[in-house]
Amino acid sequence: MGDYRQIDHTADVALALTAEDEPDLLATGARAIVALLTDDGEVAPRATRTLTCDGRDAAERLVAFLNEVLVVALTEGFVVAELDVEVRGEQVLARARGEEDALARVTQELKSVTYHDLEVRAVDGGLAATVVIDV
Amino acid sequence: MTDGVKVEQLDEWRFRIPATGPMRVDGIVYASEEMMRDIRADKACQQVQNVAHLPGIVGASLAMPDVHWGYGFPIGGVAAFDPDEGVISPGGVGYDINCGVRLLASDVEADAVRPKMRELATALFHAIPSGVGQGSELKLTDKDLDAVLTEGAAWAVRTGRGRAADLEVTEERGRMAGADPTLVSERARARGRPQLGSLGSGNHFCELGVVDEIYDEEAAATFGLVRGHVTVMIHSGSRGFGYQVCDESLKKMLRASERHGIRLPDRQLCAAPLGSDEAKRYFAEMACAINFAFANRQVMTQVVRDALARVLSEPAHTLGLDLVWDVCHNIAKWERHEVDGETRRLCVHRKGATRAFPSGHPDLPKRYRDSGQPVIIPGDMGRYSYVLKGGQSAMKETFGSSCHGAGRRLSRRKAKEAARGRRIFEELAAAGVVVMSERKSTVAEEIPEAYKDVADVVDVVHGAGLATRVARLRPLAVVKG
Repeated sequence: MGDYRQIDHTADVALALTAEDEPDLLATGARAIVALLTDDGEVAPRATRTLTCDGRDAAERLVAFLNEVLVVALTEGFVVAELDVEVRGEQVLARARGEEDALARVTQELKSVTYHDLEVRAVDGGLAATVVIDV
Repeated sequence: MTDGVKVEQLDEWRFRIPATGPMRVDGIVYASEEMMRDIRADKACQQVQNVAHLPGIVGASLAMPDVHWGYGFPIGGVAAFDPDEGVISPGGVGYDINCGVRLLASDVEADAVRPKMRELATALFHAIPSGVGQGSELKLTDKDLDAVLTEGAAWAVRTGRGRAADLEVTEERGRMAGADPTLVSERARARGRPQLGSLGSGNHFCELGVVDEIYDEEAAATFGLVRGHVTVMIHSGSRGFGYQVCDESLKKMLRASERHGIRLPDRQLCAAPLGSDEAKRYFAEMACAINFAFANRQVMTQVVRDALARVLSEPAHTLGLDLVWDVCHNIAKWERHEVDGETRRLCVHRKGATRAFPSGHPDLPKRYRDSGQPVIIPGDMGRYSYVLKGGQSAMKETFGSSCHGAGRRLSRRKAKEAARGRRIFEELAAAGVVVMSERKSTVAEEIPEAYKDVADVVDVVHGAGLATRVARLRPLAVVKG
């Protein structure tokens, strides 16, 4: 399973992600987004949803997917706890388990995941990316 | 640490980044020598260079003295584009489309209400939905939302949430023409609908202040600013509506950039030629977000007036609480500017920058035609903010633009570290500022030392003649999201 940590960035929030492969990168990024949204709150995997998006390269798919997780939480109150992610060409298909009607769990608003300095790069053991989020 | 960018000092307040390689024009940074050290340590100068790559850019890629790195354009960036050769770029507007600030003046003496400051702050805190996801009590139908997106602040005034006079002193009279709600996604509508009339988090705020210094008596009188009187500042934007419009537009503009052969030094600078369908679409959606933000600030203004009237047991109109000005920080719009002796219609992008039209400009309301436009520059919540008036140099050099605030100097993490173990609310109260916030961590992130000293920023714009000092305001109470 991948990992994430928050790194210093002047005006906003930056995440350093590491993962085994692209599906893991997307799932790891999603966990990081939810941790930010809920201030590291526990989210129970009670309900299931399918999340989809697309992008022409891994960087675009990462931004699109993390924004999907963000927007679904903010507009529909579905907060993701766990994910099974597949990448098929340009398409991302994720089976998400989480909580419905959970807008109250969101304690920090994020504007958007950005493309700023974004690069998904191969590293020993998998992939790494730094993602900056406009708060 | 240097950024590898060649910079030449032109005079005390101006630095030039000469056009090299793919840059089509020079970069010009307004700053002091000391500020340039920080600016260069940040990636802002590289971003000023990047903006200069964009097709059809006119004059120079400009940076105000509060410049710091942003998404695409630096924050504090200004650029104008030719209608035939130039582009529009969502990165030149920002995610928080029409983030802006408005200032109200009052007939209330601060000393008379100081004993009630906590009560006033508490009333505002409860009256204005401020935090995350926290929506307002307005229940908008689709038709209501369409009206907000096309009418802007005028919708709010029409529905009893403001005074007709407010529109006279709002940029664009609170309504950007060209909005088309049919182009806006359901997602953007879903994000925005519950948030109209709410402050938002981060650096958004509602602040009660006092006019503590006047530098230009005549302009201050025109603006309605009286020494010792209470002021109200509201800083907010288009909330989730604008963020969603920007995110969706970036995707479309990335494709458009490819289609139109625009080479991008940075994905966040994606753009489309001004005459293209993609540009027209972005403009129409951006205009919706601009109007949402104008309506947002207008709704909150009325809420503030009502709350203050309740606490002070006086009708709002006897308290004054007249709008001085509402200014946009993040916007792209068509304006006429003189370039090399010729008047040209240009698409001016201001990202973390404000319009600063001087006296005589025909687009100013009659009330400010002699003084010049008020330019509101919020500082941090511990020190001060400034009101300036637009200067003639702004029209000659910066497409009528000036700075917008102080700019951060500490990251949110570093600010929280600096705040650890301290009782920030008590510290600020001891300094005479009552702070209310949903989240302690927001206040920690926003401690005064997280920001540059706005007085240094104002020194530069005043020295360069972009805008000149009219008054200084000190905070008395701040409501944060």
